[in-house]
Amino acid sequence: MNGAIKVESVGYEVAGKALLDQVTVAAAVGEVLGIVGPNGAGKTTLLRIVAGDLSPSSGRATIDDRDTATASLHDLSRLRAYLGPQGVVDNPFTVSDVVAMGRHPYRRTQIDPLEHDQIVETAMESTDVLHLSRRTVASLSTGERQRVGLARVLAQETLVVLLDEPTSALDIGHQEAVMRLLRSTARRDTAVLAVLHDLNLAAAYADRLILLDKGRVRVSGSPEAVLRGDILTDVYQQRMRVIPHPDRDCPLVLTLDHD
Amino acid sequence: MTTPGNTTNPSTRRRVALLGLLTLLVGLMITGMLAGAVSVNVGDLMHMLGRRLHLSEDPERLTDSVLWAIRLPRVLAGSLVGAALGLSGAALQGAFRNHMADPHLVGLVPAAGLGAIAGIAITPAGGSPLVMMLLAAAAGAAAALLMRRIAHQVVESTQFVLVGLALGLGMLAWLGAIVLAWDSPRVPTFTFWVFGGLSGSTWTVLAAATPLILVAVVALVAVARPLDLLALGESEARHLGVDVDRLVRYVLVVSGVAIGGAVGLGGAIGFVGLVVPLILRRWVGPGHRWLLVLSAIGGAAMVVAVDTVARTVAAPVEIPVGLLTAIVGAPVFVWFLIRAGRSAT
Repeated sequence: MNGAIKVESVGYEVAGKALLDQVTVAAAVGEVLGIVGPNGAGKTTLLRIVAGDLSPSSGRATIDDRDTATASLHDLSRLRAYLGPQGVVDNPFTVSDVVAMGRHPYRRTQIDPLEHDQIVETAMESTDVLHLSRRTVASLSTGERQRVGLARVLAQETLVVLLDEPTSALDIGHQEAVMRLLRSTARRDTAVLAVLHDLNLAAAYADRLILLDKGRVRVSGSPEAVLRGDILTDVYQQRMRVIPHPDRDCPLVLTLDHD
Repeated sequence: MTTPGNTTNPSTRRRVALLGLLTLLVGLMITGMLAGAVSVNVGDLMHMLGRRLHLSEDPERLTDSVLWAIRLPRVLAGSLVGAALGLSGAALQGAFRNHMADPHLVGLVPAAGLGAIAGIAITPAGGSPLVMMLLAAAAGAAAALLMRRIAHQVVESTQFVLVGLALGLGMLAWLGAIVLAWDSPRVPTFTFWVFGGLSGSTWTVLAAATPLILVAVVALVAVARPLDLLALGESEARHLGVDVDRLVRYVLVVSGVAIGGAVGLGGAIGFVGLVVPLILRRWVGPGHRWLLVLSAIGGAAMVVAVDTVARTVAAPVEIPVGLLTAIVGAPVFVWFLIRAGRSAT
């Protein structure tokens, strides 16, 4: 099942302004594809088009060869899961209730309730929120909510997982843990598409990257190919230099003073 | 996932709440049947029920007709009105993702009043109360759908409440103008449309309202799980397969049906839909399956209790039931708001 996600020459316009222009992207099962780029580059818009939340003005986005703009909400709920940057919004439910809601798409299937519980528990364990299971979401910190949101998304057990800045509120230890988790999730049988702001996390954990700039794909490919000092300096309007990571087999992005 | 041995286990708490509220409701209904100007005892009540159910052939007593024609329909009407209010309060709070939503504030009750008057106008004298209730339901649902559109424009709870208040008071003013101008014995007085009243409860009106309210109970409990998911946020619920727009429209229309029946039976009775789900959510948690069912039973108990007090405390004068629910409900509501404010800081 290669090409789990296919985005073919997608354009998206709002009030005559092109937020995305001729964007073509593909992600296969087994890989983590990172979307990087400055604010307003169209990263979230691209993610939401893949999710089926927005219909592209031109081109099309498919998951498992199903057009996400026309697939039913029910079918989509079994094809893709989506995590927004805030993780889980304030609500009165407990953590285990919220994660169990990720199983809703499978409510009319012949799955043993014990298996549901097992999946929910595994999801909470892998995101390090099991000890919070009886707490209400309202009592959690921002970072804890982000991990609870991730647990819910994993419990949904979809072919494609879409994440918008999944590590934005996390401490360094949890950032690395979540990225390792995303990579191992991808390796099992999932295509992971994640908007990432931290270029070094992206370099270390994404298999491939696409760099969006003003709604267009500036460059895509391996982290080494995408993360280049001259390109980044131009796109982010910030002097940057890229050196080989002293310890890891990936590039290391450094920000520099202006001249 | 449940912690064994936990004394506040949610599922135990829910069962206790269900049994407790049911017992309370039955107790209050019996009390309501016994209380009043004509003194009646439990023996009289059993006698009436025995004769009506053809279990006994005892000669008729004087109290039989009071119990059968006046008090039994009245406690049943109180239960139904309360159930409709508590149920739709809980459902609307879920659909609007706002714990301040209630059948009054989203315009359902005042609009249902206008619809009911239109229904009275188009039916011949002594015509079917069902037409009146269905028109009340349609008007109520329409107002709630309008409120939903407005709620999208105003995000803040306070603004939402203010818009609801303004809309409700505006419709109430029109209602008052119509009632005063029409001045016909066929139209209930203005007090009925502001503070409700159950003195007109007859078997005919009950027969029209009962199916509406029972259907609404079943129809709303059926969407309990999607309402739970909505608490995660509209796009999160969509990502889990819930058609949010359709769900919300469904809840508003079904709540309209329940409120149409309730307003046709008992007029405008405030604070039940607001306060009952608020209290029960604290007790049994936010899950809608239980919250909806228990809010219906709790609302029924509250209206039956308050109505019994309303018609006995100043007898022979009867206090409008909604006046008392407001006297009880308003401080409870404010107390909850203050507590919520404290726990948030």
